[in-house]
Amino acid sequence: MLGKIPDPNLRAYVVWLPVLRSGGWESAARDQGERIPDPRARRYYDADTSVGKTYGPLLRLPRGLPAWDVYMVFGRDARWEAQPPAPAYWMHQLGLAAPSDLRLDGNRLAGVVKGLLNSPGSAGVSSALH
Amino acid sequence: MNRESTLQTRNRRLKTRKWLIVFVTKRRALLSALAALAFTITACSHPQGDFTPVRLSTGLEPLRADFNHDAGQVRLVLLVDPT
Repeated sequence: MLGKIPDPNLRAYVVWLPVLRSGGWESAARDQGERIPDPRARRYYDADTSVGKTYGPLLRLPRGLPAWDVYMVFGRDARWEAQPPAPAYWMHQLGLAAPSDLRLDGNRLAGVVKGLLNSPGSAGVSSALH
Repeated sequence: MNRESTLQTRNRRLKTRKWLIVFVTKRRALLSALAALAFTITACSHPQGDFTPVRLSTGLEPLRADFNHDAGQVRLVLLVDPT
């Protein structure tokens, strides 16, 4: 995604969550981080899956399912106050657990990001939240 | 005369010793300051090739702070399992 869009006004926060029962998540996160050497990207490890638990209900995922394998886009105006902001758009790889029309499509997601980058505010994309 | 000359030599030696002490003390202070500066720069910079993820606290910091710091930019938040 970052490789497709060299725009300096794009930032990415990669949050690694321990969801699968494979173990060794933190070292795996370190290894995976090497695959994203882009200076616009920052990497985090969320040991308690707090971000996933926070965004699960916000994205209206099935009860108890944390948001993971989820890719969220936020416009320029978005701010994280007491509650985290809802994304302007999002996609997922959660199979039947989330809306089928939001299944990850890299080209479509890149198109949405480019649209937001070309618009002065975040009104370029209507919210994909239902 | 001889006594005067001895005193002068002694004074000169004392003066030199005093300057040496000042020099050593100042050099130590300078070296300490340089070491502190080097440590600060090293601690603040992200070494090239170090992709260690930052652990989030219960308040989701520093993700929240970084997100707000970058307001005005388009931002992507990717939640993924690393394994």
